[in-house]
Amino acid sequence: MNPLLSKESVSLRKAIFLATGIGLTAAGCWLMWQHFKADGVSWLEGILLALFVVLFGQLAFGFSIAFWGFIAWLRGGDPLQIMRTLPGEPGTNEKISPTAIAMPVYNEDCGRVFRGLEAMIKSLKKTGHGESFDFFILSDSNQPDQWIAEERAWIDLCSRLRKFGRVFYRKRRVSVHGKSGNINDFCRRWGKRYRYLVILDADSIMTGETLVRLARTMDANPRTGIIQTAPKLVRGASLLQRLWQFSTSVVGPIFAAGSSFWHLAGGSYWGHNAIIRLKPFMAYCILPELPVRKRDERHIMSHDTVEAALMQQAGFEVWLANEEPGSYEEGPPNLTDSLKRDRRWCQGNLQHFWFLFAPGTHLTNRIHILFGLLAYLSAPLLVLFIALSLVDYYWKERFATFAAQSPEPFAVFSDRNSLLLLALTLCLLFLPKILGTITALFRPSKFGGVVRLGVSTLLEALLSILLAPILLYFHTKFVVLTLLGIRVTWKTQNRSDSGIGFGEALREYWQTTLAGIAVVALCAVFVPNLIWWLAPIFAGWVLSVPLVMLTASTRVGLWLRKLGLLITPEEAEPPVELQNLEPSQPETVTTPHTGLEQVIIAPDVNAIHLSLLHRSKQAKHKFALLETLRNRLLEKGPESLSSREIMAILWNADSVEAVHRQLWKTPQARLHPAWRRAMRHWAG
Amino acid sequence: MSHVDHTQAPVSQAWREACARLEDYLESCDIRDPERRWRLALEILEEARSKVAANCDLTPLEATMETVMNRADEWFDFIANGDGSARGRVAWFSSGASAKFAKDFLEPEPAHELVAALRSETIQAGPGLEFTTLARQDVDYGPMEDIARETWEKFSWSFVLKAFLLWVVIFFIAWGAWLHFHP
Repeated sequence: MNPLLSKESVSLRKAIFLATGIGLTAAGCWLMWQHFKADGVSWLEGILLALFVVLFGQLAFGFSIAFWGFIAWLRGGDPLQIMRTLPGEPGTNEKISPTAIAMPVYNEDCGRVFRGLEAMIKSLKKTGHGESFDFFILSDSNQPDQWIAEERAWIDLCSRLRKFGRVFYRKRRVSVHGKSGNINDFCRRWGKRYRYLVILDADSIMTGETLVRLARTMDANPRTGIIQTAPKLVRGASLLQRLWQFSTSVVGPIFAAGSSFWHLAGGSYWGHNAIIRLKPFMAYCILPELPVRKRDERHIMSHDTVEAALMQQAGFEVWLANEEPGSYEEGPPNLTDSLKRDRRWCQGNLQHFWFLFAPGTHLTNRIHILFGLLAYLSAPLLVLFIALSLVDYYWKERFATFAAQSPEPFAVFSDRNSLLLLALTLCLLFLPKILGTITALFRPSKFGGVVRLGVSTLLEALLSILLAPILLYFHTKFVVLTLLGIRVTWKTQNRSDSGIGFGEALREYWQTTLAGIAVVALCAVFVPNLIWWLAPIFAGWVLSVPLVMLTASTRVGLWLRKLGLLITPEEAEPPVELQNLEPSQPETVTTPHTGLEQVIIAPDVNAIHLSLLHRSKQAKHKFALLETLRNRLLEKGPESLSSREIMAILWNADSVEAVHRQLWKTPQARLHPAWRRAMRHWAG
Repeated sequence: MSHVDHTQAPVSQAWREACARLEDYLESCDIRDPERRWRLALEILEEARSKVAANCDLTPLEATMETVMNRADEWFDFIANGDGSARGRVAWFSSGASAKFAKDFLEPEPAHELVAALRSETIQAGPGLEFTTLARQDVDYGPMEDIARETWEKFSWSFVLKAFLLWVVIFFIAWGAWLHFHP
């Protein structure tokens, strides 16, 4: 066990945290029970009470995390933090264990990926310990243009920074098992060469100082298997991005501190912006298959939580370095992209159900898994709870009418217990935001000043209230689809700041709008007294189309920034690493050629591509197939081949070389018009 | 791709195209200095001309491009110390050596300084491979796995269908009885 910890401290903290959560849940349930008990508990109310325990429990534990995080903040930080084991600043002669920094990419914005890497390389150089770190771009991109762009960007980066031999590029021929498969492939090839692996996302940035501190902390704590940092959301331009980065800047730190408070060395891993000890990772954390019938559903999609659980089962610690600055990521630019990501996460989290009852899983991991499950399962449960509550209210109201006792408006909140319950619920919902705002008030200049911080908090609360029902609707849909076995594929996130037009918004969100209108109509007919109580839900649904358009707008986001609203510390004082991530010139003015055309025509791009390909002997039938494809490519132009066929040619060095030579030797008049055009453009 | 019969085209036009294509190619090899480009072009065209004279099936464009590409391959392979012409090319392009050493391009004996500079430019896509066999973890999923497996083993759609039909029959019997006794 880590010398930082004693058995008592671990158990005491867990007990305090659980007692807070369970105590609040019990209080809420008791009030609900008292409310129902007044006129006898019906079977429907029994179901409602059971749902309430789960839903209120989730709320109470969320509050408990924020509350203990706030207490940690009041104490000036948590003394039991893994990063506090570091013995001062590193000396220039201090040897840091070899560390690989891996960035798995999948059809990402190439310019942004490489600008981010460049910022990290430069930042590491400043620390004087850059030699201990190697960078790996692990590509799973399946689009030809993307692949070629990555190769060019890699060569360009290495030549400019003179980093050949320190920055590596690997393209996987067969991309199986998504990101975890990609990382496993790295481990299989080069895992033995490094002691640690820092895993990044395509939009991650970590400062050199943080990377060095993480590696040194791992060196100082040999039983630590994973240290997860708490990345801050940065560089948002759209309203949604700025809204969430403000929210995570204000409330995120106390939630992270609260998480760390209760789990200490039993933390979770979020899949990126974390450092991993490679030896135990390769020995104990290679993902098992799920015990399901269909072979293609056996792969675990959300690998991180399971890897953390396996690491702890192997006797290694998993820490959250929530106080460590210098770890950043970006958020999705609009609600549609955020929901796409949520859909993947939902499916992944629901798969974790299998580990909930697996013998050997630590209690802390079971709690992480349960929280992860409830993050999505709570949506359909809440919908069910609301629907049954309405039915219950309707029956009571009808009974009262039959008994000639016209119900008072808001009769459902007429007794003291229900009012107390309402107050408690609102407290648990909003107190974390208030506590977070209190911590922000101690550094107002980083949020644009006290007044602007107040206005921003109100704006954030208002928009969050409106967006929550849309998330509720979609999370419910995702859970249902997943439980019905409708699969989710790993789609690229759109991390660029594109807005959403009316047509697209209507196409994606007409269902929520319709649901909102239907709920208003049903409420007006059956439970008119409750219509105002349900307004926060149906308002979000009815307004979903304009809300989605508004929150996706970069213009609105930047306008608010100009007004000094939704400002975050990273916007007020941007770290050097985040300052040079914008392209120096608009990226649309780059070459008009596709990746394939560049490889076939330009000798430099052709050479880069060939130098990265492994020449292997082709089987006869494959050779014949490739020859057919090559001929079609030259005679009928690039449009005649599918993306898969283009990839087949690009993977074959002989084909790439042969087509390049053949094209240069073919007279203009004999070239396919597409090639003629491309050659003319290129020469011009 | 169909073969071009250059004898049907005016010879001067075929050579003009070969010359233009050659110039494009040399420019794409980062030879920016026109004088050096023309000097090289003349040399290559001369060699191509003799090839065409020796083999009338060869078009001027084919002969010219074959000549320049073969020479470039050999030269870049030498530059890369026999490690493949592609590596030599990448070193040439990424080092920016063309600005300083354009006069050495395709020369049988390029400057030592150039060769040393390009050979030091090691293009490495990855460090040396050190393979590890990764073994998947065997996880005991406990009671849930047993319950699920037993369910799958016993589950059959025919049972569901039979049960459904049985309940439909019961429903109609009950309904019929209700109609009968409550006119």
